[in-house]
Amino acid sequence: MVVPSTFYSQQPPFCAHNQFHHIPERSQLISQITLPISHSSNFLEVCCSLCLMDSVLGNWPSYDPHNFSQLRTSDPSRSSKMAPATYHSIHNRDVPPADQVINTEHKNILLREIYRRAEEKLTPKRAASDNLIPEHGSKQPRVSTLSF
Amino acid sequence: MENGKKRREIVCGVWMLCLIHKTRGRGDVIRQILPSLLPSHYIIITLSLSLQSPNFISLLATPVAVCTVGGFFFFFSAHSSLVHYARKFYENLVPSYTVYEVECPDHSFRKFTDDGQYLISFSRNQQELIVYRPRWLSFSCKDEDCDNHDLPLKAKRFESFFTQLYCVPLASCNELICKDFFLYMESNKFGLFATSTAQVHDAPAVGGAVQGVPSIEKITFHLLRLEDGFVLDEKVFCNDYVNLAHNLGVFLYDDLLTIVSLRYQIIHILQIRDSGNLVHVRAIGEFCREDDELFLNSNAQGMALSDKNKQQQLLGNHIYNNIHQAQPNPGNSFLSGIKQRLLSFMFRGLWNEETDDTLRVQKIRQKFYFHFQDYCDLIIWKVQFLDRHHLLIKFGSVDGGRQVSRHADTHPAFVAVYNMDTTEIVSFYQNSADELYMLFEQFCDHFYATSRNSMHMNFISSHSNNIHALEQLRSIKDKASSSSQFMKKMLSSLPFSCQSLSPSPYFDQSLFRFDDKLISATDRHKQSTDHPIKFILRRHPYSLRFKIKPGPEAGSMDGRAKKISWFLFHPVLPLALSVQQTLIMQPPLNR
Repeated sequence: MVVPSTFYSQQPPFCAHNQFHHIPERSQLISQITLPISHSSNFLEVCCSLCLMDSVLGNWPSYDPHNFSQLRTSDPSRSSKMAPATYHSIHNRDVPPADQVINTEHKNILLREIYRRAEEKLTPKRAASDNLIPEHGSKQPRVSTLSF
Repeated sequence: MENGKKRREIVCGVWMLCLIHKTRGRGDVIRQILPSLLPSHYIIITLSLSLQSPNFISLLATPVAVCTVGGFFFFFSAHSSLVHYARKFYENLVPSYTVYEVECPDHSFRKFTDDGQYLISFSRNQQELIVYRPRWLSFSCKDEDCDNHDLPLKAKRFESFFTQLYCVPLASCNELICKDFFLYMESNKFGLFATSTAQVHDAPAVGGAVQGVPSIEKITFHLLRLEDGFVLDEKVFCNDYVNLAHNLGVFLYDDLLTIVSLRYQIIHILQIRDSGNLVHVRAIGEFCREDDELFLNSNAQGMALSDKNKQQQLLGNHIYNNIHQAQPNPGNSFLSGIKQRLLSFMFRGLWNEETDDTLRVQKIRQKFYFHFQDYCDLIIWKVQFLDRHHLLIKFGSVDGGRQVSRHADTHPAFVAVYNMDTTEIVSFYQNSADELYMLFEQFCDHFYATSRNSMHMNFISSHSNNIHALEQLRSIKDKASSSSQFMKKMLSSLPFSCQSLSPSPYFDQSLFRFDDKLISATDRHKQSTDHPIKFILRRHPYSLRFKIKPGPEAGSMDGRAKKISWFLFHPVLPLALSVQQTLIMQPPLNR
């Protein structure tokens, strides 16, 4: 089965090559967005910096002009406590850190549920404290690097 | 981006319409034998329809672009699609013509393989395997209105739809092929068949056998390469009993095969290698780990030696001991490994439930020791894989093993999850446990344990992935008189049998609505009526899409005779076979 996801990365076979020259603003947009990311390590800071760049976000339409009114652009103390530093690889030779890669859990959801119930039964005393400790099979918070 | 998308569709659309325009003028159109119900200006032209990739049909409601590349069909969609949403095209591609009473060879047809490549059938004397390749009848029509033409005469012939590939004798003189047994390994296109000699019902329980289970002198499993019918490997079980009907005693998951020997209470795990060899991996039953037997035997030898020395000493000292020193015999004194695991798991579970010591002892006495002998007498009835490391084992009493759902309440049954690598029992439920039912209701898909290699098995409708199936289940639950009876009835289907459901899109509950009592995805015989079985669209306009009428075209002559029918649906093509059998009943005596 031909996966449509790869389709977007290539030109569709039926469209002529010169039909794409009306989309330069999108590619410009992408290049504009990537620029702040490479310099800043914090996603929220990136958002804030993008908000400051009126030419990029300010003109985008939204239903309610008050939608982004709560966003405080100048609050570095709050933003620094949020997400951990994200590693962005700028070349192919680097392997991302182990805790920033999404892997499929080997046990399927049924077995995870069966094990969870079995562990609950075996340790009834520690049931309350178990809620604070993450389970064996739970995912650690990971940054998503979905690749299509 | 938006403009680019639209343009792509239009280009494809125009291209397709151009093709149609060209061919229409000539009036010489190659049609499909089973025309689609698309609007008439759509004609699907095939250059060569390949059966290799069933996933070539995948699309969404709107919009669709169609193109042919190198003789294969594949469909683009502009959006991503959910797994169960991907077969909506089959609402339009339905069987629209029935060929009644086809003259076919006198074989018993078993099923289509799950990838649609082969039709498996057995000769009437159950000694030979005949494999057919399903193919498509095509014909050309030169008239102006080809739509209203009848099918040509060759459509009534079996050979127009199926080509015989080979006929292989599997069973020797006193053996018979088990008609209801067939497992298909899709990745390598291997098929597993079974032959057996006659059953002996009152076999004596010797050599560790369970009393009450019949014995078969020789059961042979044959692994065949279905491309050419070459027998790759065989596995023989002597004086044993494996439940072969409808794949009950065997489960295939990826390349792992589990065969339950009921007579000796052993779960054999085999691996099917790519070379075609059946390799024995482990035998769970008496021993759980591979080196358990070695350990026990070496200890037994050590104990025997020390006893001998002691006896010599005693004789030498002329001291007569009235204490009878029994020879250590691990085979008689120990329970089987899996039973020990089970009992210790139950004990530990009950022990941990209470903190107070007296309450603990009381609980153990009531719930464990009181029923100890019953638990020891439990035998393994059925096994399935949950994944490569976990087995779901059904335990029951000797009498109630082959229970049907209506007898479920008379014999208690238990279900255990066993980890093959750590040899631990993970959980243990009675057949009517609420917890087990909740797992069954929420995660039914995962109980089906389909191979990771075959994508289309993910499309089976169950009440965990389909809202209509869930509604059906809920309505049965509401109508049931007692919830525990209902749960027992539903849970009696666990563990599931392997490859017992057809992956055909016409059984997809989100696409079609049909009467479950007359036809279903399971490959079991159903009561047959003269009325056609209707398949109705699930979404607006809820119209009748197609009907299946088993039996002769004009209806049967004798309306009172009991008829059963079964259906073989091709997993990909809009092709189905229906076989109807009339059961001849003896007339009542007039007094």
